[in-house]
Amino acid sequence: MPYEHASRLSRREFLLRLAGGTIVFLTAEEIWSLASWAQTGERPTDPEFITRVNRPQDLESPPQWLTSWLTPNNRFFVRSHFGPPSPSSLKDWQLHVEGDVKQRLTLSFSDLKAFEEVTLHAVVQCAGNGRAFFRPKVPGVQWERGAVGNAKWAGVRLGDVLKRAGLGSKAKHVQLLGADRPVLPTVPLFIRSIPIEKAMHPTTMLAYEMNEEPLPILHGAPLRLIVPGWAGDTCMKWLTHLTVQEDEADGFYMQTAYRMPVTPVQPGAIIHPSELIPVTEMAVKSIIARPLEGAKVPGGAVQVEGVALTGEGEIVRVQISMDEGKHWYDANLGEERAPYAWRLWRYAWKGMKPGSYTILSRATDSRGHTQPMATPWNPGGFLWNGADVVRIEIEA
Amino acid sequence: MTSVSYLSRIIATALTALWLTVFGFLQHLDSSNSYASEPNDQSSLEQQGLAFINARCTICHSSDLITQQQLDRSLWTKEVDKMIKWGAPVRPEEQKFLLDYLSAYYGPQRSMGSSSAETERQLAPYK
Repeated sequence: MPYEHASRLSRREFLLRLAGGTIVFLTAEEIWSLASWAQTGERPTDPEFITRVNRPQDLESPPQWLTSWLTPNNRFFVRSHFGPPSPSSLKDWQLHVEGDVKQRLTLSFSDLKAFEEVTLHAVVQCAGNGRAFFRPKVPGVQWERGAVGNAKWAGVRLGDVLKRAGLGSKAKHVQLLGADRPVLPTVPLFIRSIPIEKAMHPTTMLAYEMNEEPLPILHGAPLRLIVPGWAGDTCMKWLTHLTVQEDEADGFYMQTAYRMPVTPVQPGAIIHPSELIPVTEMAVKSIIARPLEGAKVPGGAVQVEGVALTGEGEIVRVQISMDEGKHWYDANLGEERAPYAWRLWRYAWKGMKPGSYTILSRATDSRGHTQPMATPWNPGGFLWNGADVVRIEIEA
Repeated sequence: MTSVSYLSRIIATALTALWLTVFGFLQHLDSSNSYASEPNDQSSLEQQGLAFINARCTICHSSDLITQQQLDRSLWTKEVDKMIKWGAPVRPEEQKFLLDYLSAYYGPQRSMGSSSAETERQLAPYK
């Protein structure tokens, strides 16, 4: 009956509106947090970001930004599990070093600055960058090219801090925890760990500066971990606790998420947990920044450009194909280089006739690893490094 | 963590729990609002599904995290189970409705337009 139907709808709407009101209430702390951070004078993020997820924020750089040696802080991709903590929770920030250590440490920001300062250039790339390209599709944020950036980081060596605490006899892993918290207390905390060898590596850094500016809140202020050569899931933001321990961290984000099969598997195959290992080192990869997908470009010279990166080792070659992989041509590599940074590349493509073209790019690193045409499928959609593909039209 | 933010978190958590209780109670009173029964038609599934995810899932994340996915029913089932385990307010009798909606509208066959991901798919022969 019409009346009853209308009545149902209005009651449902009433409930939904109540729910909506609650959502606003529940995120009031979050909104307050963002508003408070807005008063700290940090530059707002560039409005041209591709918003993959609104809340908590996941922002992807559009490909055409991937043409500069350093990625400006307000254009550096943002990945959040729960969003930034409130400024009040960081007001009395301290770094706790505990677990299997000879002496527990509680360090203030100025205590930390007393360690020897180091700087380095390093790529940070989300482990899921390129997830959208896997077939069949896998769950997760559907990043395409731009969950990656290159910055100059300043901070102190994690190894120096751990040496100060003194490692115990069972020190095999360092567990990482930041100050960010989920909305619901039933959601697992974002806890990760890295093996002690990587923690003690001289390039593994507790960073407090990014591109010669104080670390922005969206990038983990006041302190984040930078693990050069490894995917971003270990680069813990808003870091507050380091726990030295015998085992890998427990919990969803270490034991279930961010793991990959040791050997390639068929899509949908049942994989035993013992066949899954943590995502660590990044894979060799090039990304085409320009021309953009679907671009219509005038005849004559077409400039193809982008970035290339790898885990350990350096980029030594980037090749371009315009005939679907039959012939490959070497691109010119940029002059700026550093062990864990990306390398810019360019190729001037001349005298092509009007028509549709597919541009492919592939990179090779100093270990001889070459970017494959496609990355073997994995259920988490991690470490995509298939040759990049852009289709363009050359106009008459 | 300061005592002020600790207190605010306790209050937020308590009010979340209170709201989930009240929401459940209101739903119990208003059985006509249940999503347990089959929607009458497809457009109703779409409207009710969207309203459902906007009401229940956005406590923790915006709905774009859901609407960008292209998953089959078994993968959606895994995701929904995980979210329920983590506290998403979805009652057991509502799960079928939610999975019907997610698999119908955010399934593997959905076209995502002319994104570069789509282009990559057209280049499947390279694999």
